[in-house]
Amino acid sequence: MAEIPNWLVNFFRYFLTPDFSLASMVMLVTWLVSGSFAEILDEMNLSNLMRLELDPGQEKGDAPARERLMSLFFTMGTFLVVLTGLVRLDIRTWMLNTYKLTFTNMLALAGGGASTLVFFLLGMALLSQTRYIDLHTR
Amino acid sequence: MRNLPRATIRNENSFKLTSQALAVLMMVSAAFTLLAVFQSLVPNWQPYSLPVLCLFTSLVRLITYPRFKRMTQLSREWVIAVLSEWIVILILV
Repeated sequence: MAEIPNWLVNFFRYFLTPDFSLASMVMLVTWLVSGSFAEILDEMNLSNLMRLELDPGQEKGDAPARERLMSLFFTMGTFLVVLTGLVRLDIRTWMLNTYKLTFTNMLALAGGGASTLVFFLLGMALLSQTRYIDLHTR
Repeated sequence: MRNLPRATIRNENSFKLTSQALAVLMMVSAAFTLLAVFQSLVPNWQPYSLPVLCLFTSLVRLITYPRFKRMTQLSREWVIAVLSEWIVILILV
């Protein structure tokens, strides 16, 4: 609250701070990706699938919902694996001084390794569940 | 469409709840990986609130999606709903 008067002085400097901008961008991406998840899961509910089973003509031109879910999961997973790999490279030193890439000594599950692993485990659980509901309608 | 048996409806509700919970947890795991990247790039900045914010944003998005779906896209009520959701998110950020 104490910062609010500073916005009148220089809005961009005091309101759009780098950490706020970065966090907002992450929230925007989270919002969009969650929207995609919500759309796909909504299409995959039982009554929707049964309606499509009875009248296949209602299906949109897009790929089936499960395929889109798999595509979203593997795209996100690949991105996270790349990020986990980047954490293991000393990019900060590379950017600041030497332009020489070195590996940091890190445990396998440290630096985003554990969270990426958990992401894949949860994704597999979600995919198997959607497979179950897909088979359940047949 | 024929009426669904009660057990099937219960099954559908549990599917919906579980899959939404899994999707939210996946977003939180992704946020933890991003946190590790930010910490390695800027050691002084420790945005520990990022996973919590991601949890909130994805939860809100998944819960409000059916309501947004019923609205016409880019209609006045849709714009007001999206803007109010975003104001709450930005205040939390």
